[in-house]
Amino acid sequence: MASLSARQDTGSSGSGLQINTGLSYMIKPKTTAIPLESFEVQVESSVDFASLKRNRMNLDALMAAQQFFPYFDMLNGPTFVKLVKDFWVRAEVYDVDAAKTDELQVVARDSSLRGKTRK
Amino acid sequence: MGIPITITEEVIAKACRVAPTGRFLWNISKKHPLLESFTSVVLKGNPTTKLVDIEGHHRMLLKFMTDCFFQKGGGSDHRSVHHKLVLYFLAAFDKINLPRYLMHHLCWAIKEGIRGKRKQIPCGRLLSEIFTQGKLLETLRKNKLASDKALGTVTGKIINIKTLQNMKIIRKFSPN
Repeated sequence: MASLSARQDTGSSGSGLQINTGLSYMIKPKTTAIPLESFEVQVESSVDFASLKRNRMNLDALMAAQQFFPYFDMLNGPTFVKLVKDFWVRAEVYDVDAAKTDELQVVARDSSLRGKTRK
Repeated sequence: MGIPITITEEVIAKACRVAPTGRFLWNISKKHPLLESFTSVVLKGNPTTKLVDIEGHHRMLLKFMTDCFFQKGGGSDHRSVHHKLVLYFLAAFDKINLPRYLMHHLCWAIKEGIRGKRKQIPCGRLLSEIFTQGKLLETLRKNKLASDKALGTVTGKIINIKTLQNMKIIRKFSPN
């Protein structure tokens, strides 16, 4: 199973700032060399099924078979372009199962590492 | 300061409100037997038929695929082959595992972005929904950082009668 992860920059400065809260305030470094402003966010189109149906394009049965109607409801909401770009330039992909296997192997070699984070 | 976000197939399933069950095929060869079914059902048995010439309902399904699920931009043969199979599954009323397809599409696009090969970010609305459900928006609002300008709020296009006219599936109404 694959997984994406990123730290979302919330806009405040303070890179490297360490406060004794147990939390990291480091902004995750960018994972791509492409500048943030060069990215283009593609927004999914929403669908007016009633308009299509009135014009002899009835897709109800096809969409019901896929159970897609809740998905199209979701597409009617807003897209936050700046947030998406901030996420994307810091995103990375890893395989959850492979990472778990690696972790188990490392802990088997050195049991003192049990419960430690990757850092 | 940052807020970590981890996206898995389950997270996508919850955000897109579709159960993570159904058909899913990835990394398939161009000789996969189901591609013959695609030719039979979508191309009506004629492998030389172009996708712009297929039946109207199937053209709309293809439109949904490129505008609502897997946005275009820098495609390859590999992708077009698996898109053909998705189109076949949709046309054949065979439920696909949409969350898994979206997850693989996002992972592919992120890897391409990291390699500097792709500047398009697909699934902007889905990612925004994940941010909303993941309480990111709530956190930003509490910190007064959630204005439309700061978030870059936009809405997508709408597929409706105009789309049918532009695709020449129906004629434009002309009183003269």
